[in-house]
Amino acid sequence: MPREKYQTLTEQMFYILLCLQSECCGVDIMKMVSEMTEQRVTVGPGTLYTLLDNFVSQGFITLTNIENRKKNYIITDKGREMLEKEYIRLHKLTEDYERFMKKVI
Amino acid sequence: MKNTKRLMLMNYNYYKEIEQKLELYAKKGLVLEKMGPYLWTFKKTEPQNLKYTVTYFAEGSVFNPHPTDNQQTYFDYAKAAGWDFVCEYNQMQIFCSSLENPPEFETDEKEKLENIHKCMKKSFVVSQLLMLVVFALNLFLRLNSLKRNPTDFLSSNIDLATFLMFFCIILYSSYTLINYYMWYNKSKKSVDMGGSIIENFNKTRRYFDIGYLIFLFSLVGYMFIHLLTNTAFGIIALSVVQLPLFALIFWGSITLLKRRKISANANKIISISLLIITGVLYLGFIFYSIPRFSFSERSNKPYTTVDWEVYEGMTREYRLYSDKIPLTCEDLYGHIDFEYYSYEADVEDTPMLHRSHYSQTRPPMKNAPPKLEYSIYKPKFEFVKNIVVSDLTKLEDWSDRKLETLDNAIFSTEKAYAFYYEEANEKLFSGEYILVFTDKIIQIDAETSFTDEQIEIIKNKLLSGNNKV
Repeated sequence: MPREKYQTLTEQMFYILLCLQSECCGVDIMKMVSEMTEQRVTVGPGTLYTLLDNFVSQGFITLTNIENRKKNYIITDKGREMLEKEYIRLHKLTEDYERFMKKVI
Repeated sequence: MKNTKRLMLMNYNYYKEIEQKLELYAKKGLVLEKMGPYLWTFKKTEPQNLKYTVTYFAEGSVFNPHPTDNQQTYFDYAKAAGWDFVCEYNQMQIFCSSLENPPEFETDEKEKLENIHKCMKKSFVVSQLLMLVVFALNLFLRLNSLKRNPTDFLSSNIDLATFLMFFCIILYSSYTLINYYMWYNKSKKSVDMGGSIIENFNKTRRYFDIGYLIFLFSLVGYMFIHLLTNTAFGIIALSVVQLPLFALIFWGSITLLKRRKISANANKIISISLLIITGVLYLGFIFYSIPRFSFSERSNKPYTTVDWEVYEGMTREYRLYSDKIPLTCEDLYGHIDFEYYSYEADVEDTPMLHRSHYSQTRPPMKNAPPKLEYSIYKPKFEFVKNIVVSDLTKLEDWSDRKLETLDNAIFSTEKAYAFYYEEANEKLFSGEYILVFTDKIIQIDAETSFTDEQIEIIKNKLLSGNNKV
């Protein structure tokens, strides 16, 4: 079996998958990520293309339709699982941080 | 406004340099319009502050009749982020933005590096490896020729220059590949640690590139001038026309098929096949025309021609040269009543070896008057001298020719040899001598061995005084 390319997600990957809870196209994703994070995270067009391409081949998202060259995607169950796993990991990180810092203080 | 073409000698993977150069050009009022392998087209405009980004797209190819659907999507994303597509060549894609602070085109260093590497493996690495293999093969053939005929090789400027050229190309290709892989590995380590891609831009490499190109072009120039002064016009025309002709046919075919919207795969197959067919036809043409038009014969020396009956009903044209040669048959054998002698002198001087070849020959005939051939080699290094001596005194397995060491007192030599054949336990000397002196080696083939008187004449003509030969 080929090794899973993504064990964890980067911020950009996390937000792209988050945007794709509902169907949208690449250009929308770029705008949404910037708005969602108040410009803290931006996805460049080159990176966006590569990530969407990789996500499709990893089965995290699927192409729903193409209208006037505009490709729309939506997250799959596998993608949702990955996002959930990442959420739990991040949550665990903050929990550990708080518990440890409380002890120190 | 008018367009202008500029020579861009940029390796495919030098994306940072290309970006910087294009931004500098835009500031001077030259805006990129189209790119090719070497010549890029710029439009003359008012000076502008433009930002450029060079990216690589795996599906890009010179054979594509128009951008693929995926490529269009890629352009759309870029456009939405404020980057306008300018032009492409193979997988290299160039975008520009007039925004003061355009968003980064690539925001994930790891993905960026993997994408670059994926594209480089598809074109840059393959082409460099191909070049390496082709030239390594050529170098191997040259080495083989050096091994078989070291004396000829070391006394031929063209052979030495091509050898050096192939060697430099191999060295440069290896350097480029090693440089790329070192950059990739360093960048990968850095990216894996959460850092960014290492800047693949340094002045040393640029100087190295420029030095290499200057060296290569001077070698080619040298060979060209050498050919021009030593070879017939036909050969030069054939060798000069070759590369532009091949390039014209290959690129012409690609462009024409692209215009006709032929698919990338069909275009690739047709254009490459056409190139191979042209190559074969060209080779055929060379083989056909060289003997027919006497391209290979030097024509810059005066000569007369004679129609000679080789045997009954068969006449051939022979060229009779009248070059000045230091030792003639007349010197050795006295007056010879024969008017069809050809006297030829060929001198070639290389950084390794100076060779003067002299001959006094005649068309084939019964009861022929004597002929004479001799070469004088002046090696520039001790190791070259050793190579030449061992090459000239080499005995072939297939021949029963043997070598006799002569008394050095005869010709006042360091070493002297004469070839002979053994017949009924008797030595028959063939008249071929190898005479080794401190500064030169003389090889003489006179068909008969020399008398004491003739030896004195040879010493007098070829050896007395340093300026004699």
